Amino acid sequence: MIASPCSESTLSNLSDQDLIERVIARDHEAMAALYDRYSRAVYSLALHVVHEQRAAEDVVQDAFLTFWQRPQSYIPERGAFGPWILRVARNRAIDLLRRGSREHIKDDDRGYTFEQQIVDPEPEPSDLIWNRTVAARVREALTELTGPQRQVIELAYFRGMTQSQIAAYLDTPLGTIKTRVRTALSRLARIMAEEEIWTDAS
Amino acid sequence: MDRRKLDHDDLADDVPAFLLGALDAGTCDAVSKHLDDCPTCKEEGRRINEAIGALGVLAPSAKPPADLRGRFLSSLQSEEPPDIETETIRAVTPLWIRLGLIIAVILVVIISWIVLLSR
Repeated sequence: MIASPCSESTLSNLSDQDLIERVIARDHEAMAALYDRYSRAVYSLALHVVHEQRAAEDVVQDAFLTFWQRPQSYIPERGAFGPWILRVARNRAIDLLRRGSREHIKDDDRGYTFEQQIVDPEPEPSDLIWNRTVAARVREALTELTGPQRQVIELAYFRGMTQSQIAAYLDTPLGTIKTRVRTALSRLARIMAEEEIWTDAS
Repeated sequence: MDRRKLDHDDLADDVPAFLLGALDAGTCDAVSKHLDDCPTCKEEGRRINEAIGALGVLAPSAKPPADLRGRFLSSLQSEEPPDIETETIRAVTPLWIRLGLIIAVILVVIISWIVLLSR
C-alpha cells in the first residue's frame, strides 16, 4: 500500500529509530516518512556531486531502495541514520562521478566552496529545521580548521578526488596533502563528537 | 607502494582518507582489513564516518523533482521481498507432495499385504 498523506503527520513525530524498526517490519508508510525526512538533503548532496539531475535522482532512489531492501545494513550502534544515508548517497554519487567523464569536473567553476558556506550561511526557507541546525553546527566546526585543510576535504568530498589527484591539482607534495586530510578529518570528527552535532530529525 | 609491512600507525594514518574515499589504490585493502581488526581504529572510524555524513548537509539546498517521491514509493511495490502468499504456496506445495507420497506408500503396503495373504 502506498503511504497516504494523512499517515505522514502521525508518523512524522516518530524518531528515526522507531521508523527504522517499522521499515524492518516492511511498513511502507514508515519508509515514506524517512524518505520525506531525508530525501531533500540526499538529493542536494547528490546533485552537488554529480551536477546532473537524472543522475542525482538515481542516487536518491538507489540510496533509499538499498535501505528498504536491506534495512539491517544500517547499524544504529555505529551512529545516527542521517549521516549514514548521506554517506551511502555520497559513495554512490562519487562512484557515478568517477565512472563518467571527468570533463565537467575540470570545467567546474569552483564557484561553491566551504569558505562561502562559512561566511554566507543563509538557509533556504524551505529547508527543514534539523537540516539548518546541523548545517550551522557543521559550519561552526569547519571554522576550527585551517583554509588549506578545508580545501582538501572539499576537493575530496564533493569532487571525489583522491589524495594524489589533489596533490597534482594543487601542485603540493603528496605528503602534505595526506597530513592535511588526516588532521582535518580527525579534528572534525572530534569536534562533532564532542558537540553532538547530529540531532535526530524527528 | 612501499613493500615493507605496514604497522598499526601507518594504517591508522590512512583511515580518514580511506573512509573519505580519497585513498589511492594500494593500501585500501590493508586499511579495510585493519579497520575490521583494530578496535581503536574502528571507534575512530565510526566518529569519522559520522563527520563525513554530516558534511553532506553543506551541499547547497536543491528541491527534488516533484515526481521523485511517487516513483520511489511505487518502486517499493516491485522491490518487495517474497510476500506471505508466495511463502504460503512454497510451504503448501511440498506438504501436498509429502501427503501424496505417504498415501501412495500406505496403498503399496496394503496391496502387497493383500497379495501376500491371498497366496
